[in-house]
Amino acid sequence: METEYAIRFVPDASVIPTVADDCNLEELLRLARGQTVAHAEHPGNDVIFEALSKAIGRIVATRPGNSAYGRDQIFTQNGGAFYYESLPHCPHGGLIEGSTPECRGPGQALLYQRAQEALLLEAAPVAEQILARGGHCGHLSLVKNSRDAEGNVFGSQENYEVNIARGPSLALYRLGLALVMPLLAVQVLLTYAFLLALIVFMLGGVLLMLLFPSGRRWVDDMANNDRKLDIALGRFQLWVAVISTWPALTLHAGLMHLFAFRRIRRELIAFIVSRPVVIGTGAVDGDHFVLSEKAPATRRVMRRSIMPEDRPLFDTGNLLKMYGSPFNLQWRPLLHSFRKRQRLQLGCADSNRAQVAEFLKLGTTALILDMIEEGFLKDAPRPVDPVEALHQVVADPNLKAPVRLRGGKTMTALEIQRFYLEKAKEYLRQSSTASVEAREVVRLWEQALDALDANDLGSLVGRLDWVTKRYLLEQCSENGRASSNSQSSEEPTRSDLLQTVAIRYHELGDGYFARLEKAGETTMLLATEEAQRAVTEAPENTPAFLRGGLIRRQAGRDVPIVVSWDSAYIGKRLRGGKLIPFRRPRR
Amino acid sequence: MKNQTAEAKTQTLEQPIVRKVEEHARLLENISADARELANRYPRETIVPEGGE
Repeated sequence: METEYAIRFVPDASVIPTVADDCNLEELLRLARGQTVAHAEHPGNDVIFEALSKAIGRIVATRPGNSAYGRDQIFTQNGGAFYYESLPHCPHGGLIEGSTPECRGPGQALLYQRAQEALLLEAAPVAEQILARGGHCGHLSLVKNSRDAEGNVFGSQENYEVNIARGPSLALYRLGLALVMPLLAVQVLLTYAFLLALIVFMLGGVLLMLLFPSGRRWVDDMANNDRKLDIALGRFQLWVAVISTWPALTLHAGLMHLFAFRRIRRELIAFIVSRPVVIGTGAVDGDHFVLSEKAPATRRVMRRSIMPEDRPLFDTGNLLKMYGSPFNLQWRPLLHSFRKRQRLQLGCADSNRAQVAEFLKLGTTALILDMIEEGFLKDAPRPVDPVEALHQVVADPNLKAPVRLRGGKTMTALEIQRFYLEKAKEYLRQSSTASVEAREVVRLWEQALDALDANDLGSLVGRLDWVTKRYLLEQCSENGRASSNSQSSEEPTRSDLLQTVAIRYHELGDGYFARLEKAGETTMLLATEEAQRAVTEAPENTPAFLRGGLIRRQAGRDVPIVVSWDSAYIGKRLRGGKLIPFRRPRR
Repeated sequence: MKNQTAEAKTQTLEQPIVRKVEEHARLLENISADARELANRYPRETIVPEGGE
């Protein structure tokens, strides 16, 4: 599972840096002189991520990742990773993306998700000190939510290993892919030729500008302003990547539309459209309460490009990512794209705080996918327009919105969920190897649907996020009204108050859900100690176990090692280094 | 005497519930106060000023 955390940093001169063992000379001198006054400016999220990476490295063993943006990714000893996710044209306004290690089931995934949050929570005050010693005094917190008050959308993505296609569809998909590869090679060569010509042209242009005073000022301004230059280069890089990879990428996206995950898309889609009634985290949209933070921004069923605005239900971005940068094409991801077992990425999911909701998100989806792969859901309902149906479902917190289905019928989201639940129960009855975990998923799912059907929302506070958030919004709104009647002091507008509650609900550590959790008013499926153990131990029988073990063994050794999801490279390249693949357990 | 014992029992049972309700009300009041203060200090907080994922 991948989760994006928003970064909140509030500059505050009262945060006093202290001396640490690994302070460098510059930091020690600054501390000795008493220079503890904060910079007036926000340091930029990229600087904060760097501090957070260092802080994580003091708590657990870490190693740099081998990603497209190498220095911005670290792997930890439990096999998971942290990544700085930003758009090329706004390198300072990014998010922190945490990836759990590969897991064998929903319970394990929930455990490692909580371990990730525990690690970030422990690292945040250490990072605050690192930033303060660098002259950026302030308070750092992380928010596990899916959109901010301005409607910018981010959030979490679930990944499930499934068959991309079978039989003739798989053969045609592979054939199509093989035909795309030469085109990609030609495109990359043309891009390099274009860039070379451009560099020569630009150097000539700069030399020409230096002849004129106004031109000299512009060149000076760009040279002295790192951020401006970063943004300009980022925009340029994004456009070069989009234009240079467009033909191959469009063909690959077309192939996927035709052949990839077809059965899953057909039989899972109604479930995906209806599941916000159980797993949505709720949001304030203008004056209205909606069930999901991310769903209203969903635009299509399947991804068509690598642009972030695409926002699909089935996000094939992981399979198209290899086209992201023509300067960083690697042969391994290209080869892996021919595999039968692939990662299905679901783009439309909120970042849950409630453990029950998160467990249900992972558990119900994994169970339904197993059922689809075994041909158990051929009669699943199919919405006429899935994206429109999703928007209607999340816009109605009374859960009565009808979803138009093929064949002329309509069903509410609750009825659709009930259909899948009954099929799951039948599937488990017939299965001789159904796990206790799957039965627990079904039990909690039925409990939630029964309570929603009976409009017994009180019993779901602390279990489902949207219900808990709505309860807090109502209570705060009520208290706010009472307070504004009794006091003459300035009160925030209702809209600002609700947005604040909706965002701070998700904050790690001191957020409103965390406060409910500390007060024992939520349903916990995992003990805090279990999550703490998972911070340092990788899940067994997964590639993460090999990765985590390697990172732990290499801790403290002065040997260069670069880690990725499928392998690690130990030693120096071209000087006897060694590639260690992390083999996936056979299914 | 019997009535007094029954009353004492009811009180023992009710006390934790009343305490729980009071604690819950206090928690909600704290959350509301915190949200009002934050909303006043940082209206329209955006967190991700330049765009999301």
